[in-house]
Amino acid sequence: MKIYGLELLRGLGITMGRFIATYTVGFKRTFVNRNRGSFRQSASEKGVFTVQYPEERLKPPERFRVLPVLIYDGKKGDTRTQQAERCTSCGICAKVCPPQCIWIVQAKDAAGKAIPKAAEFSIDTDVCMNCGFCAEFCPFDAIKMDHDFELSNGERHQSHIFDINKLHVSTEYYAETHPIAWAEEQARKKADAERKAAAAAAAAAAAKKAAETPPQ
Amino acid sequence: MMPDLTWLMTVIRLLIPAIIILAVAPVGMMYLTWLERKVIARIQGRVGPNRVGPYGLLQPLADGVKMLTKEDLIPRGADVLCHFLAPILIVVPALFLFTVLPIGPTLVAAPLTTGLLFFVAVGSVGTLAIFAAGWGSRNKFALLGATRSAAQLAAYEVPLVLSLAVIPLMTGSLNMTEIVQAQQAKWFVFTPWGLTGFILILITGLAEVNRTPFDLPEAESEIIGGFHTEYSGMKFALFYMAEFLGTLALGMLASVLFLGGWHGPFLPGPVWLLLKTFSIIFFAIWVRGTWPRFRVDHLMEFAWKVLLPLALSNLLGAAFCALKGGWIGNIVATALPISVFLLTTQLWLKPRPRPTTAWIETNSQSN
Amino acid sequence: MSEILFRPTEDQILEQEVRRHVAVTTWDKLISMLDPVYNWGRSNSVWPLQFGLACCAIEMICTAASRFDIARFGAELFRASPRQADLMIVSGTVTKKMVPMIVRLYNQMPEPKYLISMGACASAGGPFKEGYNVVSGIDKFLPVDVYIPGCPPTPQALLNGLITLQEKIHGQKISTARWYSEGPGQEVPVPLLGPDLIDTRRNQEIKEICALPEPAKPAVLPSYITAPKLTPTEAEGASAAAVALAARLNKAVGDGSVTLSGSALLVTPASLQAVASYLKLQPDLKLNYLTNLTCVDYQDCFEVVYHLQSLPGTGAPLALKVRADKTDPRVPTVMGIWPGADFQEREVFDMFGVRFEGHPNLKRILMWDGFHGYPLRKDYLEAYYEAPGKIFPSRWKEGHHQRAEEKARFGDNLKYPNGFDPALFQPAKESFAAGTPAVADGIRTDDLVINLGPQHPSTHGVFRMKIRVDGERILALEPVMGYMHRNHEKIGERNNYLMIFPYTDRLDYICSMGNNFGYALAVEKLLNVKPTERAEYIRVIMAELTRIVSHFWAVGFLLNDLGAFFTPALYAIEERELILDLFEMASGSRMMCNYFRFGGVAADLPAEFLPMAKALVNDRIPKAIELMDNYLAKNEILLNRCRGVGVLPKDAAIAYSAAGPVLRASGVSYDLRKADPYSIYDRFDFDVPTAQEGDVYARYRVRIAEMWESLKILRKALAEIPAGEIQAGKKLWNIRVPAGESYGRVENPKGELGYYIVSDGTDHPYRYHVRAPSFINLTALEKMCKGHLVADVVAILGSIDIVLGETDR
Repeated sequence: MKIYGLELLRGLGITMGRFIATYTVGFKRTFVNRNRGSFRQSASEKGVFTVQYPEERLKPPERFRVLPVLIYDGKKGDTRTQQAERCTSCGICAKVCPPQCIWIVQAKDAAGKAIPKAAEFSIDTDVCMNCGFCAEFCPFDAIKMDHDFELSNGERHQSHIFDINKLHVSTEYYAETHPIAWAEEQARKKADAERKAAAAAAAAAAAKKAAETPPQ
Repeated sequence: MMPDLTWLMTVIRLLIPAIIILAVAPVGMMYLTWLERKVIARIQGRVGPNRVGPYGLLQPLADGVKMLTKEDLIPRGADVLCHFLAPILIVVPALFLFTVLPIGPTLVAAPLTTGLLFFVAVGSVGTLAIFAAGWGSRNKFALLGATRSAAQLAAYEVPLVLSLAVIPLMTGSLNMTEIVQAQQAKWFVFTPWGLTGFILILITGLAEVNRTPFDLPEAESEIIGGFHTEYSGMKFALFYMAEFLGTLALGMLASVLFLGGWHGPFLPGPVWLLLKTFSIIFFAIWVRGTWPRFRVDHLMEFAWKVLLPLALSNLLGAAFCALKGGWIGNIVATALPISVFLLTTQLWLKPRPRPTTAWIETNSQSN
Repeated sequence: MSEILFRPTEDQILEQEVRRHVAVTTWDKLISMLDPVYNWGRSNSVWPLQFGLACCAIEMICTAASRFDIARFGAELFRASPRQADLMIVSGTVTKKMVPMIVRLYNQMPEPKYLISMGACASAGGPFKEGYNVVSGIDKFLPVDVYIPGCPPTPQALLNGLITLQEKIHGQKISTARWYSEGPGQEVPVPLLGPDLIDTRRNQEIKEICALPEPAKPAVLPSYITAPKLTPTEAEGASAAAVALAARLNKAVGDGSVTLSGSALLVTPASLQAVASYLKLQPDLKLNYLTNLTCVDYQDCFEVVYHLQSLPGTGAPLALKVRADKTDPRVPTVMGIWPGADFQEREVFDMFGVRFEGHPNLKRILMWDGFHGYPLRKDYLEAYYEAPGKIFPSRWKEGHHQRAEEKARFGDNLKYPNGFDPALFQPAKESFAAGTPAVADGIRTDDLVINLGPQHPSTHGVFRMKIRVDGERILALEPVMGYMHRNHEKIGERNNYLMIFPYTDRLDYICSMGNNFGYALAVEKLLNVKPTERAEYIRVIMAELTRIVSHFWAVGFLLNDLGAFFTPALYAIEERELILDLFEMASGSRMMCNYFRFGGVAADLPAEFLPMAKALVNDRIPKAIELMDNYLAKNEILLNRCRGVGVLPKDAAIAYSAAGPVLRASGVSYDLRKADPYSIYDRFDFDVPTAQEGDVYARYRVRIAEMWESLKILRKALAEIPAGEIQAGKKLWNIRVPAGESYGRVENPKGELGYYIVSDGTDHPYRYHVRAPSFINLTALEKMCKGHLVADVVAILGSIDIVLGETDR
């Protein structure tokens, strides 16, 4: 015979347990390190589960993607030159974007011939779905996904179309926010450069050898 | 010759407690909302309001300012008199409840000889107000909420009164101050009939103030807002206030009747009363954060089939106790309610699954 | 004397003297002393409306949950009634069908009120902007205070938006406040649903444009292919079994009724019902389960496709096709044989215009009655049409940014027939089968028709039920959907294959990894590509983690609907948040993962993934499931509310095409991972939990049991995951898929999620259809709810567990 009400009391016990745990487990946290800054929660997180934004923040993992940014080679404070911009306006990002929110105008030189740079580059952030395809398929590491999510404001018609100036960030900024990807990129470029150098050396050696062998 | 001003003294002696109640009760209610939000937050593993003032203590003030300045709406086609009177009808009786509750041996606003009766009578006026609110709003959800609440409040009134009936039986008085003084030696909650009475008044009291698990009339997840769907601004604030004032009054009533009122060592009387009230309110908030709500037919079943027999058997047990006294009386007073409870819950409260229906229609094209 | 102080006099000198020496302050200054208090009160007590549209609403709920806790700002009191709310957070795509309700809700809110447009969709239409049922931003109708970009914005971004709103409120003044200076009752006029959405403020403009001659058709129109050719014999490509079955059917039903097309049976419309009953009733065939019903628009016909199964059973489904005439497409209904065809046939009628003769209620289901046109036909061009398929040439090399509204005929995502005058349009009155008043004991009682939804705290999104009640007892129920119809399939035809991945994320937005999985399988069948070993293990790990996440959410919200004030939901969301951390680590986003690719996954697991996943799977999640179970599984109030409520009998579950836990709780032991194994599920040892009662409680128990089984699979997969490549072959940004058709499916937490793809050999799908379990599971809803109380409807809907992104696509 089951006595009515016992399970109800068990439920009360569970919630009381959680209630007390938020005080005891978080005791040290509350009084010792009050402001934890930016951190990640682990699988053994107990007690109060709250991350008190904006004083505390959840540190985003490196691959976290919000809106795209364009990369130019240089330091944070540098003036950006067209030379330093990595984008070659190949257009793959505009072609692979699912909602087609990227508009690119290829730059032309003084004579009117197309050069591998972008004259205009616009992203409509009210259409962008944050999917990351543009960054995934760019062959020149020129467009990457950024972490900045604090973008709320009161109007959209002027400020939600990001133009080429608003989009550009320096490689220093990118290396800070995406250290692992930056390290991989540097390693990949170094390996490519070494392979090219080895191939060039081999080709030069073969050419030299061909030149030394007397023609038959 | 000085004019005879005794009438003025009487008036002042009545006015001062009234003013104190009018000032303190709403403040108490506001901080009750703060307490509720913080306790429920902690149960759920989060912190609750903490940005508006230290520990969120100014939060109720911000809520108050906001609600005062909201636009007042009256639905088109609403019964204006009902719609307008309902919030007033619900708050004023709730405030009246505090006039008969004694805080100390001589600290009571209205020392009525029939204080308990007055409390119960005035407390049940809220039913009318809720129904008026639901009816006058010209909204189907409000009407549903109003009918649910009318049924619920009427049904739970009976076990409430019966569970309170043991008190005058055992003390011979309806005067709240005398009831507390009768608990000088032993609080009533430590007697078998008192314990059952205490549990009963907690359950039926929760039902009377529309709190979980009996908050059907305002079941947010089903009928939007129930009877107060069409109220905004200050009128809604009054409904909100009435619910919390009711909870506060319930807590004080239970402390006064069963937990010994202002009795207790070391600390002054009113502080003890406050602590006891607070513990009952904490229990109510704890229940709100834990249990799901009853469905309307289960609610009715529970009231009529379980609580009513329990209250009656408790009354019987208490009467036996009063007659016989001693350990026989205590045993009977313990055994009777327990056995009645077990009997009624086993008989009537087991979930009855409906038989599986086969509802594929047979026709020439299917099997 | 006082009058002189406050009324302007003509005597300038007196005025000046009064101002300088008598009056303490001006009226304005007095009011502005109240500004700080007024603003402080308002900004710290912002009560949002319980209103969420789509994926962003899930992030909004997570903001109110324990990790981000909007309660700290005083804003956790989400009020269900608009009369008591201050803030409307438009979170999700605003569709044309839904916008009249949103405007009505906004009008019902008392001043001062605010509106936050959360996410790209609410701001300007977002990625769904090009859809024919999507409004290009809520600011076309309502004044927005704060915009929050993101898709979806994370909870921290929403909190940032709330802080921006608070700052905006602090800058306001009573003397210039909108609500004190306007006259009373400045309502936004509610738009009407005519041949397209009608904004009554633009009536004159629309009339003038409609009076002009029609503009020239676009340069490039979508092209057709002809229906697949017939293959009656083995020589032409049919399988032996199919040939034998066709011969048998021809003998039983009549010569010439059945032929073959590939491996599918092609049946004439006249003999469809006879063939269908034969297939269902023959004891060795017993095809009693209609898995999928859809239609394809070919050049020469409309082809209605049926996928049939025998339950319980194993293997791939049998495909059956019927071709209907292009000019007047009519096909007999199969509802009498498979009642689960109900909503799916209505959808085909809505999207293609194919009439199903004999269907008792053939009305539009996703679009509204009165909408002009059949959207999924190839010749239907949406208002923002640019080209038959992306990549749009306007984006590169001369890609000057231009908003789609600027190029459209009506300056917005709208299309009206020629000569249309909106002022003359009368919206049809909504009706619900008039009931005869009951007479009991000589007292006549009236029924009440109430609407549950589309804004309702418990309908899990924008879902509406019209209910006729007698007191509290349900007499009839009609579900109305389409409020989140975001034109997924039409957009799919414009996308190329890779681009569809992020759109599949947004179908069942709680299970994005599972959606990616099904789509990847369907296309990999056509590409004939097998993923690498490591990728297969990662896929299974992600899919099972998704199952746990989805069931936690479902169970938590079922308990919430039963009234347990959010506590069990918050305990469930806490665990979900930690799993979402894993998803964010691996894919870059909590909810819209976009992680699977053809032949593998997008990126390898980061270093911290496996340790955290193991810690969760081995320690934390088992404890959490234990806690949820103990907390409420045998709770007396819960048992009373769930046992015997919403029973779905076993035969009905099969006949009404239920899938997933709904099917298994009714006694049918059918799980695709065992019955038609995909990926590497055949290597894992797990049970298929089944219950017999078919009520709400049984579905709850089945979900909890499935979570335990998922943990078994996860433990093994995490232990055994091999090293290696995560992508078979090179990752290409544009692929051509060989011509053909495929039906790929997965056992998603909500049920069988299937993708039917017809490829014409180009880089865009010719037809792309999603078999949505949430949509089809609702077919039996009315029957399940009849005779129960209003409070039960909410519990029953919660136990079916629907997500509107999937229901409406």
